[in-house]
Amino acid sequence: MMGASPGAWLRDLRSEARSRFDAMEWPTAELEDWRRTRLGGIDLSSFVPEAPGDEEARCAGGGEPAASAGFIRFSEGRCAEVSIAARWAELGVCLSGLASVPAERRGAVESLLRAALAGSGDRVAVWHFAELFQGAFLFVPPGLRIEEPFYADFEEGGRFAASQVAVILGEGARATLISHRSGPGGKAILSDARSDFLLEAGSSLRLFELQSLEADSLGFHSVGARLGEGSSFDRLGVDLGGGVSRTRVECALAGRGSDARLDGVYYCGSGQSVDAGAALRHLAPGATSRATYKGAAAGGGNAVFQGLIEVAEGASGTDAFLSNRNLLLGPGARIDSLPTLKIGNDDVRCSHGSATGRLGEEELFYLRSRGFSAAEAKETLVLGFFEDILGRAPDAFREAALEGIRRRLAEAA
Amino acid sequence: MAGHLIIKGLEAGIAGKDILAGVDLEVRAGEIHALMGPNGSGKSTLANVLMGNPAYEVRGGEVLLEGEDFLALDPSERALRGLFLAFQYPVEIPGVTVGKFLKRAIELRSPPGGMSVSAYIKDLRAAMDFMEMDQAFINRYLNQGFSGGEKKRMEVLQMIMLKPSLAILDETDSGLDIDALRLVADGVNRLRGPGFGALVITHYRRILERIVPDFVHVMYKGRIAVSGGKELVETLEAKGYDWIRERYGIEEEANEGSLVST
Ligand SMILES: Nc1ncnc2c1ncn2[C@@H]1O[C@H](COP(=O)(O)OP(=O)(O)OP(=O)(O)O)[C@@H](O)[C@H]1O
Ligand SMILES: [Mg+2]
Repeated sequence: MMGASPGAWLRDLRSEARSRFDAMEWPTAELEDWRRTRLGGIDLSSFVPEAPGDEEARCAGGGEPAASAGFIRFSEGRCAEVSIAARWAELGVCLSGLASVPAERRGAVESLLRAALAGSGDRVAVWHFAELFQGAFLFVPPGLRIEEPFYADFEEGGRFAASQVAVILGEGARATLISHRSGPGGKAILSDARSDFLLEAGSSLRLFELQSLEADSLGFHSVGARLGEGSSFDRLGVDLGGGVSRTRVECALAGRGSDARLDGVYYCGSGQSVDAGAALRHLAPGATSRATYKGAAAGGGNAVFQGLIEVAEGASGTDAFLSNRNLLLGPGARIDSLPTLKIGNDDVRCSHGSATGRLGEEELFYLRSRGFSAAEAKETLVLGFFEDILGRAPDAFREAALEGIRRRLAEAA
Repeated sequence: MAGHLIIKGLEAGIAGKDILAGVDLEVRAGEIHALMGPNGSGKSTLANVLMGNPAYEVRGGEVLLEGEDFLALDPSERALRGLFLAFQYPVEIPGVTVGKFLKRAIELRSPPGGMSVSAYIKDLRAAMDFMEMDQAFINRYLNQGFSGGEKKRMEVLQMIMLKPSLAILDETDSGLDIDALRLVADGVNRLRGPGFGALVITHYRRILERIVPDFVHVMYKGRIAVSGGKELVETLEAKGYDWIRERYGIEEEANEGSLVST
């Protein structure tokens, strides 16, 4: 606006983040939130970003896959393709790269990301903004209900990738977003990603995020969602990759009667470590939340799930449930489950449950007695373990997640 | 002939405990054998050892199927060679639907690329009708939340679909209502023929009135104590196991006596 170049706000955001970044130290195990992320001896500063610049593909209509509302693809940090179905573009739906956000939406996306930067408390999180050149932006105007999904694909490259998804749903709008972040094999990269969501009153978002980086990479992902009155946020996140994988989902149930459903699946191969975290913050009365996380670790894999339900003083009538189930698949596999409740109000229904176990010998034998090889019996039970969560995802997403788990199980065998 | 099973001097146990103490049994192709015997005598142990349950340790003896050393095979190979075990207590398999599970089990028995999905679905629907099972079961997770009787019907449904050459039914008739009992018997009788033999483990005469066995065996303390024709069922019904206990108990005491004296 006011004659500024389309990417000026993004440049300002980066330089603000850069000065914060320069003043900070790398997180260490002394930082409570990083205590269980196994950074080991990894030198984070060796992942030198190559600024992709703000050249990006402009929206073209008609290139989106069939039965989708729109599609955006990033390759090595660059927005390579954007396409949105004409019928939705005509009604004011916007899907674009960050540097091409139309003037009338710039203020909204800027404040969404500024709030996210302000809430970033460590150097890795701030780093994302210091290197944020490109990302996917989706806006759905009030009252529009779109059933077909939008797709966002990130094929990470380079040494360092700061992928971003930003979604704003107007009042009463409805949308589905399917996002996939993958990395190149044979090359260690650091993916420092973020997804931010602003849901206005009565809006509803179904979100499917799959991370399938290679085992030699580092995958960090922060997810922030702010829920308006009566809005509904339904996320299924699948984390399959990275030598070190760390995900933080921050869900603020800020509006009365809002509803969040957070489902998560993580798989941790031998020598990998996964640190999955989800926080549901009930800030307003009458909101409901359900979080179901399931994980599996191969022998020599190490994972931790940290879940938090926090109920603010004024959030009466809160109804929240957090569940975490884990499977240990081999000797030396370890998964710690750390659910926490912080309740500042008496009028609430909050509970959590967690369990960690191994595959049942009897179940394995049952399948083998029907002709399944030992490896296939194991695979069938592991996939079956995740089925209640993955079964509710769209077919293509579910298949991609299952395929990723299958591949990793075969690698472990 | 397919399904010819020979068990010689089979000794096996679990968790350091000896259970099978030298089982001898031959089931020729197409024969139906009933295996009876008191609780804890080792019937399920025999069934599990034959199927290759790794929880059990085989300590001696041999098992041949069509002359091949069966004990050397993995459970899945035993299954693919035609052995089927209907479990006394079928376990729940969460997240795996009946339809998907059976499709894969049949695919494993078909030549590569040789399975017809439409024929499979047709066969499955027909088999479910035969077993008087609701088609909705196809999309349910295998055995999860099934009633005891439904689990048993599911075992028989699998048997019908997988067409084994030798089936072991471990108390498939226990806990069944009268209709289900008839279905189980009908299921076995439907497969009965030169290419299908069965070892029917049971405590009750009523199933053996419907699946008339060619031979009846009584297991007692890990051995086949008595074998005979179907008239043995009547004898057991009339006399109970005490009669065997007496006969066997005496031999046992004699054995123990001789041990003490050495
Ligand atoms: N895991 C185990 N650990 C120790 N003992 C076991 C174990 N499993 C079975 N047994 C014992 O082995 C013996 C034989 O058991 P099995 O299940 O074969 O008997 P069964 O003849 O099938 O009895 P039923 O008619 O009650 O089904 C029993 O004494 C049982 O308690
Ligand atoms: Mg038994």
